[in-house]
Amino acid sequence: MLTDPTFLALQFLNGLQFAALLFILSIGLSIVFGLLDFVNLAHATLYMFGAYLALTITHLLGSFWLSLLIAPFIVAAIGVLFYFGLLRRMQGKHTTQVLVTLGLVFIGSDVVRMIWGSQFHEVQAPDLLSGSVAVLGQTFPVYRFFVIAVGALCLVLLHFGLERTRLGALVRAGIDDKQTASSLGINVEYIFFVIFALGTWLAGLAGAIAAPVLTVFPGMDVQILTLTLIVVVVGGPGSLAGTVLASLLIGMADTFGRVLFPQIAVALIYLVMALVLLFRPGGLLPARKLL
Amino acid sequence: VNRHADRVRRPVLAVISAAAVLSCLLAGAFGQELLARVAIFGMFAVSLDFLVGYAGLVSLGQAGFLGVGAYAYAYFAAVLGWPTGVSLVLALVAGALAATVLGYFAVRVAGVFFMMVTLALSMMIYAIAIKSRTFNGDDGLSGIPRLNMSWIGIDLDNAAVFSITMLVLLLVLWFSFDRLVRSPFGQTIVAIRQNENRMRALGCPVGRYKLAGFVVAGVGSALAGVMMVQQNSFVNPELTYWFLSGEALIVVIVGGAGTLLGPVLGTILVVLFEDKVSSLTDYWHFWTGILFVSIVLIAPDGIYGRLNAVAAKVWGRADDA
Repeated sequence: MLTDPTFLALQFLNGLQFAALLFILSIGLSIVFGLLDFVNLAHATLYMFGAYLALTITHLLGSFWLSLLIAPFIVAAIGVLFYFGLLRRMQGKHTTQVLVTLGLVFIGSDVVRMIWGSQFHEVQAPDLLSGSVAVLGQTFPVYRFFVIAVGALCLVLLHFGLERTRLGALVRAGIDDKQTASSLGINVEYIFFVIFALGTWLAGLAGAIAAPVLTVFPGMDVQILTLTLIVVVVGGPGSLAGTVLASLLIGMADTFGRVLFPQIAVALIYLVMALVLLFRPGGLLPARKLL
Repeated sequence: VNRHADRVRRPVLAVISAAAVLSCLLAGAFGQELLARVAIFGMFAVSLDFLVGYAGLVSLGQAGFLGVGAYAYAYFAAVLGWPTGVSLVLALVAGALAATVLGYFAVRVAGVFFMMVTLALSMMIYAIAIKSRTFNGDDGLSGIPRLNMSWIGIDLDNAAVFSITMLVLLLVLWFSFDRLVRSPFGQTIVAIRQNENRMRALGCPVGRYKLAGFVVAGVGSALAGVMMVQQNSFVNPELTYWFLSGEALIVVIVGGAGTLLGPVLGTILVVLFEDKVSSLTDYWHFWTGILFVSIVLIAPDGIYGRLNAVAAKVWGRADDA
């Protein structure tokens, strides 16, 4: 089994698919953390809302594509609401941020139960993507290729957005040195807002994308939250390249761990994190120098 | 809190003690259960406060060590059938070992990273517990005996005796931590929180002190875990889950971090609130979340800090006159 190239190739694709999902979810958290210095534990709760909204919109409008378009914007709207109502007042106070967003996780977990019930839901992939293709004689769901493609697209867009646009330059300036940036007349508050909204939009997108691959249930947020936090810590907050690398590392370690060493698979990821922190406390590719 | 500026220490201690004695005398069987639960969570909160309020290490994974203590006691006492006293000691040793190994990694990072690392490490303990056949996975272990103290005439299977013992144990633990934070060791820990670079420049082995503080809090949490399984007579992976860590952290902050007594107040508020709400609605997580958010917004320095602020106003005026 271990030397079977077909098996390894399929697992590699599965790992890539999971890494793509982790990337879309983590990059929002990572940039918000790196730029705003804000820890949003409710990020994964927004992801869960994205998945549930995709479920409902697909059901109501009969089109997964529309839900993919609409759900992230609704999630971003919820995020922006919380940003103005609660989170904006907590700049720089990490413990407060963690506690308040943890409270939001508690609230969110019951709100989805109130609206959608406690049962598990399945979302059908759209017809165009619901089939399978042959990979080295084995079948592989097309939808998973779609997830990988969306992850790659997000990476390319974010890379060009950050490196080639004016807003991207402002964001990088903010991550490097917030005070200097704002003393140069950059409206840091406005950039924070845009980044926060983008981060929550990405969380919603990740949820909508994930809905057909994973089951939709209350608790799907917490299930992926720890992995997301590990990706952010391992990659280095605010670092695009670091998040890509860490998503691949964790996605692959999780997928291969599950099939090769099912007994210790869960521990493997934490081992990876422990080793990274031991040798590079600031993450693999930190966006800025940490103390 | 500056000890000289702390005016409410004695009154709060007196009120908590009086309330504990009174409720112990008046409570029925169900009330005794609740009282014991408050006392045990209080031990957990006081241990975490030592870490959060004094060492400045905000852990979001303390339930991991509570779980290690709980599982170790359950394994030795219920599965292997060893004497309960030996199991208790071994459970505390297990807590210390786990805190040493995981703390070795955790204290290398600070601030938010520390929170995330402790969270992840505790989830590793959760994942191991839920996968392990030895610990019966998802279902956990049951039929766990209470500590056999018949040799000094104490029967812990009696609800009232159990809750009194837990209250006394909380008092002992609080007193030990209160001494500890005033000892040279505790003062060094506080100094490192206040200015780590200066302490390092003075030649203090900062990392080693942090790790020692982490282990002390881990052992305290393991003790709370041992007591918790004795009360429930079962243990499942839920006990190591980070929701419990978050709850404990909120209890500490709500009560007032770095005051040791404040977290006990926080425990009383939150445990009683959750008990009431969970009897009224199935959606008690929702209301707990609302409570957390509103309290953090209303009293960011905690109940204890608020009490001191009020006391300062009252006594301040008295001094002026």
